[in-house]
Amino acid sequence: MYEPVLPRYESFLKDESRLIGNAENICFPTCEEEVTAALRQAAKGKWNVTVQGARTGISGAAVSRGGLILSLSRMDRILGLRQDDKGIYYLRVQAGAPLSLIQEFLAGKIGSPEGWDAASLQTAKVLQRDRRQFYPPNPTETTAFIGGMFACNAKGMNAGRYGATADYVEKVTLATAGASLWSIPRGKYVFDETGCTLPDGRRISCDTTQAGAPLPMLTPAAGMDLIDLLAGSEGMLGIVTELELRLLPEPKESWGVVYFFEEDEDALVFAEKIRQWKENCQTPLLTAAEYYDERILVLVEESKKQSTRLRVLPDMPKGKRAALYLELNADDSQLLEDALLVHLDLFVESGGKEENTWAANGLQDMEKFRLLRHSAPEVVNAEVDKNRVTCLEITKTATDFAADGALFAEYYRLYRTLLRQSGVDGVIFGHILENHFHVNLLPKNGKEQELSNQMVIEWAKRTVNDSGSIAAENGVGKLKKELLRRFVPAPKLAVMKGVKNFFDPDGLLNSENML
Amino acid sequence: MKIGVCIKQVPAGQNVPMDPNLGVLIRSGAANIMNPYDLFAIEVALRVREAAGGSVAAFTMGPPDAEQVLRLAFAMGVDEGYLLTDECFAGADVFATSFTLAQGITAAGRYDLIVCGQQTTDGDTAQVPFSLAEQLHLPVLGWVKEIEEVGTDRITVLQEMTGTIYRSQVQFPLVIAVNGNTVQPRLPTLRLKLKAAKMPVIILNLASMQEQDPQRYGQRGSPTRVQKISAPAVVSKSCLITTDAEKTAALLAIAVAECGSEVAD
Repeated sequence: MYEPVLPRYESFLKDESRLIGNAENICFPTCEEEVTAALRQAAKGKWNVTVQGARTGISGAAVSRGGLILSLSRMDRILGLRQDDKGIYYLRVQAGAPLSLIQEFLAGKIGSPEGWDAASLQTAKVLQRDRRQFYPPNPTETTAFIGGMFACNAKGMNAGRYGATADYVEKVTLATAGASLWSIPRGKYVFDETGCTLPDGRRISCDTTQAGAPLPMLTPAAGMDLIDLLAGSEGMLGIVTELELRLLPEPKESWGVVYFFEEDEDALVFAEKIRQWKENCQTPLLTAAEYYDERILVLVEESKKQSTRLRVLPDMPKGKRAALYLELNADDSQLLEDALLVHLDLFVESGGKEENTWAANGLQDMEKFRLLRHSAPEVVNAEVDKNRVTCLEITKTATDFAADGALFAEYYRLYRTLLRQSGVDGVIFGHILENHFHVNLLPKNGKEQELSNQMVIEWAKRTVNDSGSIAAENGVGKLKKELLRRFVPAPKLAVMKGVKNFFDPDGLLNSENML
Repeated sequence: MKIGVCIKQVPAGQNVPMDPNLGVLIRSGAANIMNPYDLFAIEVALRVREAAGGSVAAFTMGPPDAEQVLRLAFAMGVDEGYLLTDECFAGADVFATSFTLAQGITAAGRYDLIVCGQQTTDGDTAQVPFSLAEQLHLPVLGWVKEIEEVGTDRITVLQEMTGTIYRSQVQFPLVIAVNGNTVQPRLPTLRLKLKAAKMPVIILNLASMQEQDPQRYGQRGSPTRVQKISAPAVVSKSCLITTDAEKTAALLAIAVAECGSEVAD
């Protein structure tokens, strides 16, 4: 059932946060019964339980602090498919299913897995003849498990158009701290002004006025679905073992365009023009707007020497100081082409040169550009590792703040000014139109690490003042607890602790996270 | 300068079935892409145009949907596209393919330079550029890794053959075949990508060719006869060794030494 954490399990003691944990035991359940058995064993032995997905998180939520690691890596099956009377498809998956597996299934690259019931097989046949479907949330890290994405309510670069992971979750199965299994369909368990009756008949009573900024986790609001409370709770309220995902028909046409700029300010001017264009756009077309500063572009180019995977990217234009990547999709190709021509005019008006664009039509060709986006945090992590060789105090230090989209240029300049003044190396990339930049600091010694931490606090202050979010998509985990301690008001914190205590009175589950 | 570039639509992926009777690839139903070697050929052609002026025309032989590779060529900056398509062109071997290409190129005009990819990922013979040159009565340089200089009447190239670099200077007109990974193919700009979808493709069929005898084209014009095809036996084995870090490192070192330079990152 479980075994000691032998040297071969060393990699299970860390995640992409670069924090290193410890644990006495580890288990790899394959089904819900094995999860509840592990929970009973943990309760008996009074072990902390740390639930792990693919360990791609950057906040350290999956890093254990003693006790038992419960890895969902063997609960990786796609379990079935159904279609409702409106024609919407729903895919049922175990929590350890990687996003890549789901995407491959929907792309028709793999057939229906073994063990499906007759109804699912029949629906799969219908799907084969129907229009291709897709699961919209795409945090670019396709090795991430769907359970991990739900645990931090991951968003990704198309969140401005499609929303977060939980927006496409119709049902979950939750293994509770008491080792029960709850089936939670969306719409059945919804908070009112004073609380919510749970699947076991108990009622959780809480203050429902504390939801929202500066972070959404563990704070119920009237009208909130229980599924949405569980989303982003980082495994602290129970272990989600199974999810049913709502699918959407894939748009017929997709375009991706990278615009390179010779001046950083020109990129901001162009992004503002695109923001205004989007606001006036009658049909939603834009799915992603990703900004890259010069430093991150240089790091990606340098890493092409070491990575055959990145060599599919051609050399970027000389003299580039920044880039903006826009993705659009729609069923009407003419509508898209008209929009792209407008963008091209706006780009030139903003100081761009037509020859400094890369364009792709169709998801296959767009993969190169998505790879560029995906490689950004990867090359940053490699730099952090390099710097850690000489100074172990160095940790992954990055912002995950989102505020009013109209203020993105102001925030960008704030980030840039403080970075410049500090002298600490750093990169800026991310979801520009949501004012959701990922500023990654690259300190080289303890003093710079301290400076970096101070900068993050300064930026968080501004975000909180503007009622923004200080943990927009990467979670709080263990790495960002200090931010929570500083910026979450006492009444909200009390609600969060109350919710945690109600679901897990013995503090068994991921209790070192967040609070 | 008039530059022609020969390109081909090939099946995507590596598991394309073969017709055991005809000994040809079963192309219907397969997803198709531009032959990756031809991306380098297009890039070389465009760079020559940028150095010497003129225009680039792309030629491809195939079914009507082979037009997609011409659209990609347009998006990269090619000026004209010719699709050589006719039922009687189907099933061509190296000889008939290069004969058809030679006919098409001749029908389109006189070209100073014809650029080909060294080989394709489906047929993989690496013979078409040489056969094409023979049928056009032009000199040919294969395995070109770099264009060193483009003059008004001649071109200087570096060829890489059996580990040796040769510098060759040849007068126009000629055919060159370029190696993969020699230059980095450009990505389409937005303007060109949008324009590419609307550019006209010039269709050349049997009626367009100087040689009107259908027996000279396609399978009927192919001297190659496939006697038998068989898949090579794939021998692979794997084993799981559980040991400590030090022994793992030692085993890895042995494996790396055995693989030699084939080890990639």
